[in-house]
Amino acid sequence: MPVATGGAIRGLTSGGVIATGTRILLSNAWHLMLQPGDERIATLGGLHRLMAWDRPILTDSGGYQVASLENLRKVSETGVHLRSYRDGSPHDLTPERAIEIQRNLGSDIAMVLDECLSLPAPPEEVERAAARSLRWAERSLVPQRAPGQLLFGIVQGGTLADVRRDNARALVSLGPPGEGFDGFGIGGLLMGEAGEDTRRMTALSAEVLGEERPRYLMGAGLPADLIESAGLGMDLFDSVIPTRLARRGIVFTSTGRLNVSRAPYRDDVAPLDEECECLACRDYCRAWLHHLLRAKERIAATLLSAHNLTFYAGLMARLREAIAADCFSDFHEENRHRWRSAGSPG
Amino acid sequence: MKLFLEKITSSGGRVGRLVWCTESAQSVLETPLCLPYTRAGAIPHIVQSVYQDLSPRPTAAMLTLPSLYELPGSAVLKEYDYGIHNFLNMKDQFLYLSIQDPHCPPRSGFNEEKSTSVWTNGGRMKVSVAGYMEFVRASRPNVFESLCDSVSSQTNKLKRVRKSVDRTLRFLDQTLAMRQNCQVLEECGLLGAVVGGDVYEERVRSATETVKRPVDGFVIEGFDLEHSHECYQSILQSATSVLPQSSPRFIHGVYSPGDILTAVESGVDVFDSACVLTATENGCAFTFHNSSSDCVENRRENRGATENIAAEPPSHQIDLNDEKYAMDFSPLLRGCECYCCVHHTRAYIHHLLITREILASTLLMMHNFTHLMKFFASLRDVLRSPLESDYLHFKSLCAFPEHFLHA
Repeated sequence: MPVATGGAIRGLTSGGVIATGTRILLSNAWHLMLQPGDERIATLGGLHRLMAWDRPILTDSGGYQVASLENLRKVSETGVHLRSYRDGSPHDLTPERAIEIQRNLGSDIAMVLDECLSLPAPPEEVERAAARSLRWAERSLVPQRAPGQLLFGIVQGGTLADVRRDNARALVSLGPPGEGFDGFGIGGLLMGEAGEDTRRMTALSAEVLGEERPRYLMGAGLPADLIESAGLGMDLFDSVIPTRLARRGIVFTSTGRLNVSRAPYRDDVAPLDEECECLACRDYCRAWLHHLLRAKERIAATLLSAHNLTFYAGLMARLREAIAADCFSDFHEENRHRWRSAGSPG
Repeated sequence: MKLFLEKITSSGGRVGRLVWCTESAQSVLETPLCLPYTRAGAIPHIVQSVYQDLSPRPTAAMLTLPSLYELPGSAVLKEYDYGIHNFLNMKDQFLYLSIQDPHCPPRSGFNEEKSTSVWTNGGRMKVSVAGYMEFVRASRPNVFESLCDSVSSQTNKLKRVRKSVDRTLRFLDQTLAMRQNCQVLEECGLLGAVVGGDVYEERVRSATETVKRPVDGFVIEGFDLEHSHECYQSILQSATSVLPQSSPRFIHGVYSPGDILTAVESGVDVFDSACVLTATENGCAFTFHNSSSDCVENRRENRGATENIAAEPPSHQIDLNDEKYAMDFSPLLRGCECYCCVHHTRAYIHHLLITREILASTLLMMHNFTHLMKFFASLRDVLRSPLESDYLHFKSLCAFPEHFLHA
């Protein structure tokens, strides 16, 4: 899922996003609550109407965003009391309010409010936050949702195996049978911990959460992360990487990863990727994209984002095919290093 | 490239067809014509796959030298060897190359005897006739403007204005000499630049002398938003009255509906759409009158219909940054059929501007571009009409005071 923070992706119209093969978007409930306001969006008829996007939308509750605003927030058992980064006005983001916001937005999948900690954190903090997140998750099941809206719980517990295991078990059994969560986010990972820890925690979470409901690894990631995590049983991902790296000129192609703003591409008139049919590769050559990027033309970010989104959609499709055809391990072996940047660890 | 005039109206406006040939076909652009303004070869904020959602779909463009001279530049284009049409994936489009960027007029005081300065992303570059011709030879646009030394209307010193006329003519003669020996250059149309600032005699001298050279059309240089209305028309006419009827006349920097009509009445045929970018970057959407289908009866009916909805006073444009649009779920302009007005609301554009999303620029460009093109289509319609009153009525509805672009 690419991230459309405020309801838009990098200058692409809805038609442009669909053309990339993207089937679902993520929007941030908290950002939209501050601007333009969830009630305003409800008056218009919901987020889909606002964005002219009629495909699925998943909204994140804001737990992760507020975690990064250390000076502006105060967390208590009730919820998070915080100040708007726009105008300093005070807001109370409680589990109930998070559900209300997402009801107003009318997203297809809503996420519970959880308490996110920045790592590293002492074990007792991790345990405390996980327990609170669980209590908040239980409160989140109570308020009314938008018709047909699904709700995902979020597993916390940092990199502490026992805490995470217990948290996941409790989450799975919340709510009367058949009325609990429709799926689960695996939260609190990909926040700077070691790769080995991410893998262990992901595998553990998948094991406990059971087979029937979808597992969403929040914040993943680079192509290597996606392939690996899919192998560990994850079903859904979200990341700003395809759009954020695009701004800097970094694109993923069938042969690897490149930065088109670098000098060698100045006179390279080939498309970004010979095998790609996206709106950048179809109509623009590398030299021209290099120039547009250097000239700080906004369409450069739009074009490279469209390319990366098309790449990601294609990668996920090939991943699904490999899994269905039972040759995932070959696929994994072939591709796990292909899109690493020069300096990243194996 | 050849201009076929259908009609010259009593107001002075000309309506016609610009015909140009590609290898495969002959294409036609109707005049008065508005060429889509580009920067770095692209309509700003619009990716090519969105062209199908623009009305009309662009089949021509104005390329601006400052954003192409350094990169891709002559070297890359020469190596590429398929010309700028292929480099920019604009194979069958009519491409006109201008010396300066009308959206970003150059600072004065930097032109020299042997070169004119352009401001690229890397900074100032001096463009000599030889350097420019190398670029034209490598890029092969359909038509290019002759290198010129244009002074802005604020330059009052007669000596400087005279020098600009002399230099421009000298550049033109050098260009013609180089073109004579080169088949590639001969296949590109050449427009002579008519300069002369605000000095009548110099304008006439520049025009008269340029006419003596074998050029395919003319660019009337040196007009920009700072022009006051009074002398604008008379200076423009001092130049155009000398030019042969059958030659196309291009102009840059003329953007308010009133100024466009004045230029059309003075015999200008081709304009550019840089004002679309200016409005967009200010967060504004055009709302000025652009329809030819209004007659007095229609207006009366419309007024009755819109009285039930909140009556809006007519304006050139609205500023979507204004808080009052936060809950306005109407389209940018009622009755507009552009992509943005069909799919989105003023409230959404306002939201995108507040959150600084670049989609705001894309959607506003789509609206403003479509709006301006419709203005030109309507203008052509009323010029073609046998009733002069149609043109006068259209003019009365859309002429606005100066400075309309400053939100």
